[in-house]
Amino acid sequence: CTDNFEEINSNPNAPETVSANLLTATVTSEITRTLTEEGYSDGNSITQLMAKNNFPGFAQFDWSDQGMWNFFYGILPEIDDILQISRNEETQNSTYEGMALTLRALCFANLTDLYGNVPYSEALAGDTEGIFTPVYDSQEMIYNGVLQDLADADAALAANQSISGTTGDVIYDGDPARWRKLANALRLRYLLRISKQRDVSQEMQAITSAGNYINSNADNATLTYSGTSNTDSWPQSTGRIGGFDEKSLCDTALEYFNTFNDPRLDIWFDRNSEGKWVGMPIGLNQDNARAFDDANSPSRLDVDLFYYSRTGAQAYIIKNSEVQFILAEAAERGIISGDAEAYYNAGVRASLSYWGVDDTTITAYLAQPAVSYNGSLELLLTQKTIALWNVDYQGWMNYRRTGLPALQPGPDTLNGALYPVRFLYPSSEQTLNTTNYQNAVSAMGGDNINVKGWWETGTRY
Amino acid sequence: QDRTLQGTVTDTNGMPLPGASIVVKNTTIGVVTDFDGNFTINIPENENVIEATFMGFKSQELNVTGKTTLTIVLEEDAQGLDEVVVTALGIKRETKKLSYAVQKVDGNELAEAKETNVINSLSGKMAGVRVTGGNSGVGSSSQIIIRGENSLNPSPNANSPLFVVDGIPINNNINNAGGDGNMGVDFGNGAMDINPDDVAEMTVLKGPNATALYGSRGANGVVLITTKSGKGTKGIGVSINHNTTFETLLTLPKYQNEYGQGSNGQFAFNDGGQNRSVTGGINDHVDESWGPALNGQLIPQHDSPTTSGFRAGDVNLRPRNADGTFADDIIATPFIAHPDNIRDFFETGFTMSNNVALTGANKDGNFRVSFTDLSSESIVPNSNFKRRTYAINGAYNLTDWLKVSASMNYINSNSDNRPNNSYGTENVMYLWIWFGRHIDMNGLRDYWQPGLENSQQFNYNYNYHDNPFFTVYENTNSFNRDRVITNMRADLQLADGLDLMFRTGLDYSNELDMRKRAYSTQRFPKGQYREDYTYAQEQNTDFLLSYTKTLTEYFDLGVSVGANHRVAKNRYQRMSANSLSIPAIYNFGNAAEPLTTSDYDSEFRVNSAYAFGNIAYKNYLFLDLTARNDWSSTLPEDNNSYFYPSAGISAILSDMFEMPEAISFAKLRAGYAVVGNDTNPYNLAATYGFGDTFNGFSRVYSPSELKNSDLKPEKTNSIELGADVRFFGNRLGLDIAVYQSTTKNQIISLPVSNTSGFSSRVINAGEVQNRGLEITLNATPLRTDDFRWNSSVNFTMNRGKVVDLTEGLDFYTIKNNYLTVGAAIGERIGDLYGTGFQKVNDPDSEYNGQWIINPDSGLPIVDNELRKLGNYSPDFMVGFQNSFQYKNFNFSFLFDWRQGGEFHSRTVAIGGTTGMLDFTVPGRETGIVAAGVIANADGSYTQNTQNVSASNYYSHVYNRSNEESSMFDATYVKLREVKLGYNLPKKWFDTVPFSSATISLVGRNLALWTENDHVDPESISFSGGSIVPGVEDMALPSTRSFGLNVNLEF
Repeated sequence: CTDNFEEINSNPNAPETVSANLLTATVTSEITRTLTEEGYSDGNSITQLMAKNNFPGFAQFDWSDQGMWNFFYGILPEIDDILQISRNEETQNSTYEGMALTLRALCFANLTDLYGNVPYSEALAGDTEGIFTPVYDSQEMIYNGVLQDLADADAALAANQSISGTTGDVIYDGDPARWRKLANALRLRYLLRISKQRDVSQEMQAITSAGNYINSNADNATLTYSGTSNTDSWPQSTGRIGGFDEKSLCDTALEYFNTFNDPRLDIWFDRNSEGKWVGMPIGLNQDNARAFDDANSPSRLDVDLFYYSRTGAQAYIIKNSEVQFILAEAAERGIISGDAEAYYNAGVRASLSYWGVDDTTITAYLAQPAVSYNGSLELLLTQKTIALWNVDYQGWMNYRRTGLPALQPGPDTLNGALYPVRFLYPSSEQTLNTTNYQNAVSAMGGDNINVKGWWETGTRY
Repeated sequence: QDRTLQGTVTDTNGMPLPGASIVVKNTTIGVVTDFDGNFTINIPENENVIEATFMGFKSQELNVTGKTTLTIVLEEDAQGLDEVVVTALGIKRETKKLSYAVQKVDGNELAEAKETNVINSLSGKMAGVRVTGGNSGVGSSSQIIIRGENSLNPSPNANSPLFVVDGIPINNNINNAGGDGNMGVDFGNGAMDINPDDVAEMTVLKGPNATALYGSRGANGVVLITTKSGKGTKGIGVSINHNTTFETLLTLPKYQNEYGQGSNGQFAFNDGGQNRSVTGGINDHVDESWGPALNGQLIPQHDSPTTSGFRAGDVNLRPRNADGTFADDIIATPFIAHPDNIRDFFETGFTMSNNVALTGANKDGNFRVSFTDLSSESIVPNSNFKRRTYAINGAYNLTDWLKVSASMNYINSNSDNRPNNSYGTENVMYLWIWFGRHIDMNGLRDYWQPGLENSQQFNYNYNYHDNPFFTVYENTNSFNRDRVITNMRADLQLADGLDLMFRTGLDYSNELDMRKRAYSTQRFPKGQYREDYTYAQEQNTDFLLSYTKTLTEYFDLGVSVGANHRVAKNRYQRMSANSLSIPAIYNFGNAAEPLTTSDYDSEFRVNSAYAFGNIAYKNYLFLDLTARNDWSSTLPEDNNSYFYPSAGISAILSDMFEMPEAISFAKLRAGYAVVGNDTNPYNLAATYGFGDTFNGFSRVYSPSELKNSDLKPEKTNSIELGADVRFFGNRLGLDIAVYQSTTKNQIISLPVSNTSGFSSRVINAGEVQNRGLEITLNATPLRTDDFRWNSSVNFTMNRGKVVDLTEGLDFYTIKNNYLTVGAAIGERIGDLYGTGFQKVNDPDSEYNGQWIINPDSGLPIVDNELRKLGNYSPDFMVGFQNSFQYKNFNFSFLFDWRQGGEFHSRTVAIGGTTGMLDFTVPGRETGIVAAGVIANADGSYTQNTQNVSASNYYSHVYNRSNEESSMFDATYVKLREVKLGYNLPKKWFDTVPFSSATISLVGRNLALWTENDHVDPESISFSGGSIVPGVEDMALPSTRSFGLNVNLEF
């Protein structure tokens, strides 16, 4: 009665095992694209570079989990699979191993930065260990793991093993040397992030001295959209113009741009119908945002760059400008040796040059009294915040760690006088991982948007 | 040696009784009388007793030894006791002998008050049966649930009964594919292809006790459809049926008529949001209705004229200055309400169905051919549904001992356009909830900007929405489905009482769906062309060997053994060009980007062996036993064989004991059954999924579902008790059934925390218990020679309860769409969870139960913790039918009452935030103080006094992420059906060729009473390709229909 049953029930539609390059194409494209899309839509709002004239709830701090939890835990299994494949005897490849470790570190660092305690040590073990309700680990413990992964990635990528055939890597096409620079750039980012809690100077110094980090725009971890289909186009270019038009220049950013006489204003934004630059206050409610919009016609984002072009804007994980500002701050604080001003200038130069500003203009820009370096962390971090335009939530992380540049809630905030510092856990965790969720909430002191994490409560500075 | 017997059946007045059944006792041989009450039947050798039965008449057994012709006179009886029904495997049995509840609907009833989707005709007519209609007009899917949901699996197909046509199981899957940027389209459910004109009878087997022989697939009940045959025709019979039905709106959301589009009371059109920073008007990019009062003041609008001669909304044509601003001026026009603008969009629906059937029979065989053409124009412009059915069947006695029969139904269903459903720009109901009350619908009918045909639509808004006429005329979703349902059967009489039946049947369907999207569509600025191809095939081959014998004077015995072999194959393919090089050329060669594709193949097999027996004692005590074993390819090798038995007993007490005179009949019945079930193919090992290519690289995704190589079959245990008692010479009848069924070891896709690396895993878990009570009451309150009033009430109550889930789990998310449909241990099936506002929870406080207001905003605070907001299952359902017959006239009406249950109306939620619905008018001029309290730091409360604008208030209170505000009681009463029929007197036909003519006026869904006056709580909601229970989401208005049915027999 049951002849051929096993054969009939073997799935002809999909494979049970795959090669690393197919998964790599998925993770490199999805992570880069999502991080930039998040930065564009919400990261720019929380740092007040942009304000919304419609559906402005996010900047009123009417928050939930914002979907990032599902994104990162959704893509981590692919990263885990690449790691397994890269460590199997038959398919061993230290470059894939280094790439997977780098991306795993990036995902978990983002998760703990955004949510605080999250499942880490027991995460992703449904198939291997049958764990479906993993415990939440502390941010400190997760950071230990993140930094270890990045150090291991550095070591694996140093072996410089090549990948034969299609790499699947939309960022560096499988170049181990450049991946190594990305891994070390991320180490610098995360070491500085925990520097209020820990003395990180030895490690940061070692990485800086070795020089294997992103140090030029040519090494930026960027994705250039080919624009052949909706999938591989700049995501905003495939939406409705109404959705694009919900975003405007924020008056906080306009103040920065005016102070610096900044050419990026004209690159990222359009003048309004009267030919003026008008910024919109952050945190207005729907009625007030529309009323302001109607009365003042705030500047919208550059429509040619951010809407009509499928390939004009890129997606990225980390760029040279951010690395230079990290080093500038570390030097300024004495964490590493070196000239803070030189790093600062390199950071400004890298950002402007990335956006197509010519060298002469940049030199003139840097020469302005309002821009030229004076040792002020506020100036440094304001420039860094602008350079972090579209870079996920990194500007907000800087603000949470340093309080700079100072940000005030808008007039229609729903969060009192507080500026929020984390996302809420997704409601699915309440029902699917109840006990661990509740333990995490009590360990952190509540599941609300004002509970600070481990790295921002350090006292070293 | 067989012999032929001819006869006539009449009533006591000598009037012929058409449709009476004649059965040779102890055999399955039976015929039905023709229009003149005549019949011809073959009597096998050694059989001498025939039984004549007819609904409403007392049955008669006659010894026909030596007779070749006879007249049978049946005595009238208020209730047909000796009714014969079709049971599992197509076996005809007397109702009185059954140990379980069975109900049937006669084909005439279906043909007269015709529903295009035959499932809808069952609504309100049977206890235990819940029918929910789709919301895409004629041609929509309908869902049928019998005795509650047994499965925790949210798939609409998991709780569907099995449909069997002439012994062959057919597919009843719902096809509502979305994806690739498109929203869902309802292309119908499989059983919808059944043509009501060809149905002789529909029998519903309600629980595992009745369906145990169908095994795996019978756990949710079985709908047995017997198609018409030529049996009993005298010579040649011709019948013609014509049906015309008009449809009009039954419901429509109640829109306000005081304020137009805009924000903060301001609005003026300039470019409709196309290029806001250059040519934007005043809030003309805002697609909500918080604009100026509609007082007739002059305001530039999209259909206002301009000094350049264009409509203001012809933004791509109007002259421009060098800086991009318009060089012309809009001549403002009065800003007034168009109260009927949305009603104006809809048209009167029109459905016409014509059927011609030819039948013939002689002593050796019979045939029937039938052709039906159905054509329907929807209430949505340019949307339709067409179906042609070709049916042929025949039977022939090749020899005394061999009879063959075959039937073939070819059905072609198609549509030039089916409306989109669910939430988004492709659904016109989505547009209406964001529309403007100042818009004259007629001004949108010319939907191209002149000279830009095929490339640029004309609209009142350009940043979010599509012109509704553009949507329905240009962005079409067509389909064509070819379906063949066929079977062949041979009956052999091997020896006296020993029969062998062999049958094979096929259900095959092939469907092509085509979506076209024009240039300038919001979702596809450069158009789209997409094809979805679905192929389904199921083949069933079975045999049945039966033996019947009268053992002694008192005992009758019947034993059968059989086997079934089932092979099912499915294929799905999708291709889409998501932008086109040249407008309006819908061909993949015209793709402006690489095609996206998806395809899926599946196959599975189930082999089964079964046996059943029945013993009758003195024709008043009956015992039924069944046993079945299945082998399914979908289960692991060690667990792929599973066995399940059933037993039932029925006792006719009124024949066993002396009863009081008032009781004319009394029967008790009891049964116990077990049914096993398998799973879908490929549930044992996880696989990687393909993604779209990115920058030229192929991509795959890791499995999101952890499969299970140790699955066990599901098991349902069911016990059913019933009584059938009739009084006063059968003028009053009462049938009661109570049951409990428990489904264990359910194979479910359990959602797990995605931190585990998977979002779900396949496990055996869960125990769902359904308990229910079904009561059917039939009465003939009045009966004279000329007049008869029959009345029937059916009552259904079912409670589904989650008894257990799995270790460590006390809550299971069945479905997550806006609301969470959750299963919690000890709670009811169908519980709905969502978010609501924080409220004072302190019985001692005078403010207990009031909203807690955020002092920053003056608005209630959303509490993100999930709470139970209701349950979508009804508390009970009642169908109430009355029919009156006076001479040649008959009149009947049916009320359908569903009591209890809740649903979430997304139309109300969104219509509250957009200011479109009537309840958003109060407070527009004055602002609103939310009724609630401010929580003070010391734990006390202060009454809120903060005044907020109406738009802030309503858009917050009806916020779509807060479902509590738009929950409604799902109770409704519907006047489901009204019929007035007239049989033209026979004497009129002396000079015309036809022998009978019936004209009926029919109306369906004529009136609705319910709490929510914006939508019909009955509308099924679709999302992501499947039904979302408990949610109404931008449903098309439900409709009432009026029609005329003419039936002629020659």
